[in-house]
Amino acid sequence: MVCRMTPIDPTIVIERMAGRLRAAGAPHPVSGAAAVAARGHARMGQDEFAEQAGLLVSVVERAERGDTPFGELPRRIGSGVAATGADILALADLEQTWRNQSPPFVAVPERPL
Amino acid sequence: MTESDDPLNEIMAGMAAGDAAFLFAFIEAYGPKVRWVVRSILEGMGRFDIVRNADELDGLMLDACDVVFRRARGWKPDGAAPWNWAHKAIRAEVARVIGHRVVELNTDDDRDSEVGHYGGVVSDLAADDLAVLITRHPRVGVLDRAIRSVGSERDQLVYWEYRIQQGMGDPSPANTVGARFGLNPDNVRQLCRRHGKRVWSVITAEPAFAELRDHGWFAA
Repeated sequence: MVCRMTPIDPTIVIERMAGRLRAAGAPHPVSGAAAVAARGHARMGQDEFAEQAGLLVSVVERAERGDTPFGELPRRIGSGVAATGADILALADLEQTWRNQSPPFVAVPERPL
Repeated sequence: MTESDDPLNEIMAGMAAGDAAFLFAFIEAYGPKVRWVVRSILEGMGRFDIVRNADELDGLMLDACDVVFRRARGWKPDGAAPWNWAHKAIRAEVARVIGHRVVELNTDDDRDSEVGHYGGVVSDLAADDLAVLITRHPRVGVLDRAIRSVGSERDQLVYWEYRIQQGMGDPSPANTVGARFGLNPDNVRQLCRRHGKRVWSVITAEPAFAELRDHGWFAA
């Protein structure tokens, strides 16, 4: 039996999470999703992640809600995003593209992704 | 490693708390396994066109991980792996997304009601995925004939299900299969041991099954 165990591209996961944040009206959905992914990659809760990164929990929360632009993400979160292996340039490009478009008028799904 | 140290348990606990970061961790660590499950479901539905499309397959894999996320609170660490435990719900989601006809309405939450209706449960695996496997791998067909050459139909189905669960990484297949068939896990293990011995007897006696004599399932 052939079993394909190719790793999952983290960029597509973050893009999808970003799509949900965008639909929910987050101003910076891609950076928000990337921040969530960074913590997920570290497998930490918000409190632990904030403590380890030397940040206030509220800063982490704000970043994950998509309230913080990509360029203003705290360095520790940024390095966490890089650690996921996601294509940062592609994500930044998506954020830029969405910024130049109208927000989507879709129902907000009650889903995390 | 204790149960609480198992990364899967930690991730599932995070998902059960509704933390999307742990969904990312789940996809990162176990997405390939979920993709395999989705792939087998699609193959069982005959949708090889989607299987061949990596983007669509990964999209469905993410949908399937979402299914596991939403149901994470119901998962138990001593039970089946999440992608096996939520197999029916994943299958239903895949069918919904691709617009496939859905006959089966039961979900994992209905598991208790499945006791005694083992034929329908196994048909998920045996009639669909197994049929596909037999088509693609003739040796699986020979194995299927050997397994079905002895014992009752129920024993054959339980044995197949047990082996499939085991092969998919279920840490306690006897519990999973027992719950589905309304059998005590000890009885499942005993039944499978007994049935495996019978199958092995046939394999060693019948030239038609000679090619299975080196099969790992029957190694002492």
